Amino acid sequence: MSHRKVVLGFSCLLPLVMLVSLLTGPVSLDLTTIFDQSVAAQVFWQLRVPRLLLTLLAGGLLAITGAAAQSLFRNPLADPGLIGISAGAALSAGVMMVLLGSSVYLLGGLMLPLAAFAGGVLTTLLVARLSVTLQGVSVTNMLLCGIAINAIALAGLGGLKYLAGDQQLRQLSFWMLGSLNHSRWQDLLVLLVAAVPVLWLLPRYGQKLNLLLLGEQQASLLGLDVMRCKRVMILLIALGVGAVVALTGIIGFVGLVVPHLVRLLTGPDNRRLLPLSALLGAILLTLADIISRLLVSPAELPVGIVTALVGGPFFLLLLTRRKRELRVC
Amino acid sequence: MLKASGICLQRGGKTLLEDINLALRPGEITVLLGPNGAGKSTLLGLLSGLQPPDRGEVRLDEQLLTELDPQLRARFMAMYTQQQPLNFPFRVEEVVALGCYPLMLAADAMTARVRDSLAQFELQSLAQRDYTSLSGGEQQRVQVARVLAQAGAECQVLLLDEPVSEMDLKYQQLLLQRVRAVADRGVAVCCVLHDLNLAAQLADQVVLLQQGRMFGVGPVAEVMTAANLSRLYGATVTQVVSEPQPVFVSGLIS
Repeated sequence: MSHRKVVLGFSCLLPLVMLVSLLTGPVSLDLTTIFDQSVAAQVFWQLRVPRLLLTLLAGGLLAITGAAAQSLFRNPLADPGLIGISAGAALSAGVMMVLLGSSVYLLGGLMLPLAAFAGGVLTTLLVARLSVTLQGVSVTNMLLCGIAINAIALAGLGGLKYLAGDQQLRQLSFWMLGSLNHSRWQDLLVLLVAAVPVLWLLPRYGQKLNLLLLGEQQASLLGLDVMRCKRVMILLIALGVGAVVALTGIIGFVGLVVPHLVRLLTGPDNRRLLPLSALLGAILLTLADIISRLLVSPAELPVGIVTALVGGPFFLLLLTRRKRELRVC
Repeated sequence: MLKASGICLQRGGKTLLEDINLALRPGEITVLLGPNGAGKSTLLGLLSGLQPPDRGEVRLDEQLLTELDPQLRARFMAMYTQQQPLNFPFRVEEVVALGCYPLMLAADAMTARVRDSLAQFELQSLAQRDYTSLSGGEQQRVQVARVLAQAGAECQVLLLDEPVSEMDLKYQQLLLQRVRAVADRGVAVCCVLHDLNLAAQLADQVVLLQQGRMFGVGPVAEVMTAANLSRLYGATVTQVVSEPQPVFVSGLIS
């Protein structure tokens, strides 16, 4: 499909799902009353709008960092979760929840996001550190380290669940499932601080990531400062994913499936893949959020369950197609 | 001119290259010959500046290669390596276009250069194909076309590590023609080959490499003798024709 058609399609879909998201919920709204002093206006400005913005940013960030990670690792199945950021962030936030108890709400509720973010960045730096070999950063080592750290972090979280009280256990479990519930304006500000550099800088590295796909040696021969490029990528990916995990917990499959879909539509060129992944990630997570609110209305399902339920089978489908194609060759 | 002086490289207590002195002169094609594990690829890696030697130095004209800015180096030098790990479904023309990255061409010039590079290797009909769906020999042609697309007007050195290993006879010959044309523009070429007869056709200078040491260097007629080659590979090589260029067969013929 041509690039222009895809851009046009996404640009039409985005405002549509945004509107539906704003109008979906247990309190029925019409857009004429949102500037009143009514309850409906309160719901709109204090719940719906920040929630929508959180969803858009989280979806966009998860998808664009997923696309970048896949190009960095030269593996279309690589996901930021694989390098241990999500698990590291979750462990760090879990420790905060259980050890600090109710004092986790100090600092205007910033403790948790900060802890998760710091955990994500630290884990990524640790993985990067462990995977530096004589020949530079080894992608294989990095993935293997990520797997090991994932296992350790998940074991740590399991231990925390035993230590936790009832209230904390519930909080921890919901958070780990991935939820967009935690959307207040001050939280959005935290996310925005991370989102601006990531969404601004990553698309500028499109052509450099294309060179990396040829292989690190080839990229270097084409004049790319490979080490520097990889360092910047690792930091931006850690920043984006860490910030999202801090606020929403682990929302799986967005970073994996969205870049796949975009690649099917417009090919693997990162100059298109990165911005389009951000757009489609925002669209699809908003859609998933709408579904999660409609399924068990007036309550809501953690959105991570919806993305996993839709994304998991979809991903398996991709894998079987891949396998069939390979067999044809 | 690319000049390696006294370069040595050791890894894990093993000497990979020892005291290599080699000059690649503009317009001249140097062919590296040697058995597996002799250090041919390692030597090319050092000549490219990707890896610094433990001792000795590599200079492009007077400039120390390791101090050259990577972007500038990419305009002065192009290299085909054996490993080509690309596994994303780029179109063939997109792969070749990546070779033009260091040249900083305008869009029109880029399109023209890509088209020309594709045509040089008879890849026009594959231009829109998914690279990952091509056969090994076709992929190699695409990657070689990408590397030659990188060798623009400023290019001084072209390094090729077994560029014909998967190509059929026709494209082997085509490649030799293209490489000769590049050399005729004044580019210093260094190429690793395993086919002795291709080497004899192509080379202005032959370097025999054995266990990281130079075993012989000089023009084809002097260096590529049956005795030298038999010793180099530890296998029997027989020369059947000597003029205008030597022709070899592997083994004894009665």
